Amino acid sequence: MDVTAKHLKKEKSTKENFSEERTSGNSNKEIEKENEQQSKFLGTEKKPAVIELDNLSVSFAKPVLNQLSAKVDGRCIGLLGPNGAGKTTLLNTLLGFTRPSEGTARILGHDVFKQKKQVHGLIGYMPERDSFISGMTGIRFVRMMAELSGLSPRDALERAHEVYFYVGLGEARYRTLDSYSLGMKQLAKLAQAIVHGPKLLFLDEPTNGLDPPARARMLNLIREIRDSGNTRIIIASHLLQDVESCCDEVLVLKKGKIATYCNLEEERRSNRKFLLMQIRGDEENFVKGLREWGCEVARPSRRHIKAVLPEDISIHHLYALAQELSVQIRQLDYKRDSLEDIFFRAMESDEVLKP
Amino acid sequence: MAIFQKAYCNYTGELSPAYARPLVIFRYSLNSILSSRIFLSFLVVCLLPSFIVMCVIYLHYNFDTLMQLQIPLNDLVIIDAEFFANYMQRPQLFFVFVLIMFIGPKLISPDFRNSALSLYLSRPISKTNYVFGKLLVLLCLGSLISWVPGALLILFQAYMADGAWFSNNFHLLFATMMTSLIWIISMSMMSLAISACVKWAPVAGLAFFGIVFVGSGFGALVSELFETWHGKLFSLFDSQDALIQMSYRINGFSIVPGDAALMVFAAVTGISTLILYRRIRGLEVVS
Repeated sequence: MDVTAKHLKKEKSTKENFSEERTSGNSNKEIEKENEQQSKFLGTEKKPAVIELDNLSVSFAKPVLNQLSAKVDGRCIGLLGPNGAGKTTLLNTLLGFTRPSEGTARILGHDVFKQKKQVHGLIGYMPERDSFISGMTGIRFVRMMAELSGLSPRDALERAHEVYFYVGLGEARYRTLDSYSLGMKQLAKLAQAIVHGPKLLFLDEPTNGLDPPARARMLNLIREIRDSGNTRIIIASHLLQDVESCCDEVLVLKKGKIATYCNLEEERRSNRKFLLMQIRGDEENFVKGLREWGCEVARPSRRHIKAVLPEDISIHHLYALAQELSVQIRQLDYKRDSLEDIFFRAMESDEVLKP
Repeated sequence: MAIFQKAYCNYTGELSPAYARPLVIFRYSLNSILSSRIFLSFLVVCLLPSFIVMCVIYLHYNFDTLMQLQIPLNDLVIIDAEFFANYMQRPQLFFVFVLIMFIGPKLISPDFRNSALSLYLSRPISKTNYVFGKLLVLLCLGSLISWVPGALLILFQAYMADGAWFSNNFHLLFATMMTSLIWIISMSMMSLAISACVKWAPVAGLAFFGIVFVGSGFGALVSELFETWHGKLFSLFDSQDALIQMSYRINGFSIVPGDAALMVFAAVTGISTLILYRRIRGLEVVS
């Protein structure tokens, strides 16, 4: 009997064992436990979400994050929001730097506060601000960070060299960090964040202050890390283009609440064509009329209207409405949602995503 | 495969145990401090008092050498607890103070100035690990110039003298160790706490110096004005003398009781720990 056949027989007998036991009147808890064991054995167990927020609130003098609940599970997740929306606070809470006033946050199944050390063993963090240990050479800095993450001195040195070449700073590895340019510092920060091979990587404004070639290089590196499949990434950024080029999911925060959470790939694939109109005249009533028909309407700027029409509404209806309200339609074009559109729609809407 | 051709991959090797992480901070900090030649020269100077005491002990027990140098035996001091307290312990602790004043602020201030704390604390190490790693540097260097040579000198004296001396003065071994460790730990914690509040290392060093000496001055003033020994509690050097007096079992060093001195050092360490606990965090709080 070959190994595969043996394995299949064993698997079958285990399944049989599981079903026999199930019929013997075990309690629900026992059955759940058995199911867990079975799925573990068959390799079909449920993996914990990358980030799980449960009623998470953070307050300083006033509430900054307000009862956030979400399950985030993408390969690369963009954290978006205007200034003061709570992006950095959420990031700091997930890193365990800020204690929530209410609720919990879990990273890959581990509670951020109760299992802080386990969580910190799983993550890599690239801060937005310059964060260094002065007087150190680049390679020594990255090596130290690797050792702090638990690598042996020998492995840490090897990994530090590998990572330094990987981010493209190989030639500058023996220079002190103080002598690095801004772009080099950003790459050094990325190097220290990935040197220990984290399961989840937090990047806070990774392209801040980079010139176009350096920015393209940074985004390429992020995409490569994402595509390696070993590391999930969370990017907090103001630059929608950067997020769009790297992320497959976005979480948009607004006034401390989740405004929207969407899968960009699905959004792109879905046929949500919309009409972009430039109009002149009674905009308010025109928008009101569209909404009465059940159209989703957004106003990216003055005189511009974006509308997703329901199936039973055609362009003729629009012209009729425009004629009725004496509104001139100066431009009419079919477009698809970009991240910018999703972001602005979330910002304009008063609705808050409920879990 | 050449190192520069390698793509990104996860680390799959073994991880070091959690207790080893503060030692990484200790190793790297110590390494950067020992790379300074000025500091190494200072460390040699710090060992001079111990070397001189060793010479005195040697000469004391070598009549031939004394005769050759034409030094009368009576002119040499009696080697007892007071001798060790005066000529070994006090200079050593003064050098420890100077060492901590120069090294302590360099350990934490640069991390605050360069926002490095978020990098440390986003890894599997805690605030306690971080402080312990830094404290260990001061503890090792302080020990190297205080109780380690102190204990060796006492053992040397015991070897040179007869067996009765050691049995009568056995407590000196613990006295030098206890006094030095209390002084090193309390001063180190105070220095680290000050440098956690002042981001610029030279200013933090000056602040440390200022607090200790202004405290002494204030204590002396209070004692003179109110004619009480309680004012001396503000002076860490007076408390140090009281500690030496208590542990070496000698008299005439200080009017401050040993228990009160111990309380002073406990309070200094406690307040410093509290400050460090509040100040060391992964993100800077802007009020």
